[in-house]
Amino acid sequence: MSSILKTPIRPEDVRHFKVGDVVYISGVVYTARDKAHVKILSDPQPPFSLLNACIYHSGPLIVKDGPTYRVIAAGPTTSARMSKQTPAIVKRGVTTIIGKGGMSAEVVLSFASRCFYLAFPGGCGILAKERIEEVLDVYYAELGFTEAVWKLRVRDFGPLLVAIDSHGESIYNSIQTSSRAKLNR
Amino acid sequence: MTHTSIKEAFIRHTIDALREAETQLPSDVTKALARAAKAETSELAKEQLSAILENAKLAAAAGLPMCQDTGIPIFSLEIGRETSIDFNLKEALATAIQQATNLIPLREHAVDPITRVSSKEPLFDTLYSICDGDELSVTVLVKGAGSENVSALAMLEPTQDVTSFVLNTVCESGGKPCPPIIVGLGIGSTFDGSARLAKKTLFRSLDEKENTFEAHMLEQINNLGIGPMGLGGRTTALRVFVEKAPCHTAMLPVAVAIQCWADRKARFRIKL
Repeated sequence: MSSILKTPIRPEDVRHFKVGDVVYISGVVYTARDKAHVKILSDPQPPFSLLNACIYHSGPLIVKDGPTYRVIAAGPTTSARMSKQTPAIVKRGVTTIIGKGGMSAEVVLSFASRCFYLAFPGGCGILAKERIEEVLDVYYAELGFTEAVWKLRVRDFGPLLVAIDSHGESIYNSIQTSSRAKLNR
Repeated sequence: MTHTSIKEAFIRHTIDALREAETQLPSDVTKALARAAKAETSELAKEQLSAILENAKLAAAAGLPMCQDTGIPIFSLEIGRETSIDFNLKEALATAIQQATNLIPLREHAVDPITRVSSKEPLFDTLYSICDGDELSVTVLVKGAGSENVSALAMLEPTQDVTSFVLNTVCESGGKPCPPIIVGLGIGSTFDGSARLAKKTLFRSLDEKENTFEAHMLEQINNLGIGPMGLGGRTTALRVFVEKAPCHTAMLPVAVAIQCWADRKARFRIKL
């Protein structure tokens, strides 16, 4: 199944998909990596709404071009580093996470019918940048350009593989279980 | 050439090498990825590999970094014994990185390790070796954090098995280092010596003929089925490099340096 999803994406939209499906996203995504996760969770009033939001695990390469920002490359970063904070982020209403490399078993459980994880090929900074139309805003700029939250307008961002669905399935977990079994044979 | 102009030429060459590494995936890597894409039977794995190849093509055409993680520049400096270097090499490398940051551009992701506040000091590493001749040969490898983070070192007991430590390391790293990876093994020497051996192997060409041990390790890694991006498939690694050195009879240091598919290298030589 391949579909185009427009943000905001609701839990009931997420539930239609299962591992192996392919989606494209149009609308608004927020980049967030290590420091932004900690910051968002300790912020009593984050500067943007997390309800039905799409978080993109990315530390984009962005330059300031006069009054505007120009995206040079913006592929995903390793999602596993954000595993610890993610259940709390999901609780705040995030329904969609884009990243690479997968996340922990606790994160898979926390998705319970309201969030899914979409994989973009790692290292593909230019492919990703080509689907970003505009930098709409920047939050927590004091964290520096790499760690800040960038509000990006994207169009047909993808192809994104549903790699962890909202029903408890994770491609990474099944692959890792089978590779561990091969190792112990 | 005068003292200043040699230093300036060195800085210019270094910036050019950084640009080449960031924007053009070396042909040995491209060839290995294309071979892997052909050999894969999993559709998902094929798609990941073709996205990687397409991204590399676009980056080269645009002259822009292929990955937003523009990495840690690691310089391998082979210094000819007849050269005389009358400028501060480290300072020149730092200047080159600072200038390249604006010119290429590079991402500013260097931080103080304790305060985690942005570091003004540039981030890079150097490996030195002495060789014959009157040239300085420089190879730069820009290495991303995703693969550096899953690299590992173990002080094994002499009766323990090297292979199972390596396979375990690769297995547990799963999709995190952006597979297909290149695995550099440093076996023997000392604690830090093994890590340097492992890192040094990553400067070798994928076209180099592999020995029996390397081929055997590669086969076993690829049998794990982790595949491109950890989504399953035959291609977990493109190549295994092994470098060994004698060690104390009571020791068995093993270092596993993992490199992502974006094995970004470039080199230049300068007569000094």
